Amino acid sequence: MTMPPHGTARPGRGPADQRDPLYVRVILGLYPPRWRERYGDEFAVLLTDLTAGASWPARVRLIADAITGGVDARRRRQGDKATPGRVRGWITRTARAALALLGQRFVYPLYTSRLRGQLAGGPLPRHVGIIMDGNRRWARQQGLASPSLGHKYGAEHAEEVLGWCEKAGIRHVTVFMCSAENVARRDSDEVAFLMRVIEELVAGRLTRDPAWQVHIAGNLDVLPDSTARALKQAVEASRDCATGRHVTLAVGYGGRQEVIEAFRSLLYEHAERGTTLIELAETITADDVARHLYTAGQPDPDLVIRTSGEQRLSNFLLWQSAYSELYFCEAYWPAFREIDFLRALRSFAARHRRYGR
Amino acid sequence: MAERTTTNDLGRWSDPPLLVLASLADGPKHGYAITLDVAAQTGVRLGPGTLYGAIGRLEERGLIEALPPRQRRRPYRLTAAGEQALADSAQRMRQVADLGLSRLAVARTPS
Repeated sequence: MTMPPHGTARPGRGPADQRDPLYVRVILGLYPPRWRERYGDEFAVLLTDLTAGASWPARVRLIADAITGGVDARRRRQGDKATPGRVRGWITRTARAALALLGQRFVYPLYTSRLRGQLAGGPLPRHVGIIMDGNRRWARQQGLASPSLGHKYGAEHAEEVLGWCEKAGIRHVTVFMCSAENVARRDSDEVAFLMRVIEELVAGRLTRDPAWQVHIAGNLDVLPDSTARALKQAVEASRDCATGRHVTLAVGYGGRQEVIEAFRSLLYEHAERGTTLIELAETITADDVARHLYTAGQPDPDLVIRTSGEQRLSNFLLWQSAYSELYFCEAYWPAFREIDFLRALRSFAARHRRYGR
Repeated sequence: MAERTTTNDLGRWSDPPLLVLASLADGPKHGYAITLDVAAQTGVRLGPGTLYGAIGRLEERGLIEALPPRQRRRPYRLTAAGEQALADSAQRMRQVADLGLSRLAVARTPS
């Protein structure tokens, strides 16, 4: 299901906005998250307004109606195809929704806080690289109209995951949004859509209310002008971000290309200084190359997370990930939950890092 | 009623969406204003779940569109397709109403 424009006023709105009375928050919890993000705010206001002056029987009626709406929205999310009148199917779906709800509301928060407790005081990666893989497969699995739509959910999810990193105290994050090969190969409609999604993402909170200083990794020249512009704007807007947090967006990025570009720039630098190739060959060090990478000045990633079960680096941070711990997660990117993220951190904390020694 | 397959048909869920469309016909309104207007004009009290069920479906079908929210309220307005759908439905209802009323009048006329 595509969500109409004018997205959420506050991204990632959960069921719990402290401004709303408890019963409104509980009822909102019955609605699917996507619905809540889109309509939650206005719905909460309406429900509060309507019940405020109403008699008790009228309140009961209003609340019953609001609850029915939630069940309806959940069922609709699972596809309009559901044949009406199939009572057993309905019961199964409702029971499943109720179980999922129970999990979301009680089990999941408990487990999340337990995981957080386990992480407290342990080693934390300074820099996390994320390969957000599986958007298209997720969209197909969800029965969305077009697999490309998965990218939209994926980008929104990236913003949420940044929030988790913030909460966990991670100060450097690099997100692999799209590879140089993606830009070159996929059919142009899909790339165009992906680019628009990326533009929307960076024009959003990353530019308007920067909590992260934005860096770009990748060749802006291969991107559409509007995308390159949006990315540059985000870099400009967040330049003075004082939080000490850095997010690098890898767009049109390839690790080999990056290393080649770094060498090229190193060679130009020395050519201008008049260094001979022989001199350069004798003196060149790994640090010389690192200074010319897109990620110059940032620590190398300690942990690289890849979703969707694929166990490859796929040309991501080729140079920088030499000593990174790798963590693979089965979930498709949009379905990657905070507990998956915390598990990755826990796994990192439990490993003994050797740096090749 | 025979099933219709035209795209603008409002289907089984016709009632509340039709009320919402009718309410928006004279200008954009947010959720609360729609419930007040519908209650005042037709006596139907739309509950919040019903209202947003209708709004969601109408928006998905491109019959209404959201305007930027003011505070936490978001006004909606009819799209061109929405106006057309409302006009079509109202036209059909008028035909049925005319038919019913005229035949009742004939039946009641003393011969």
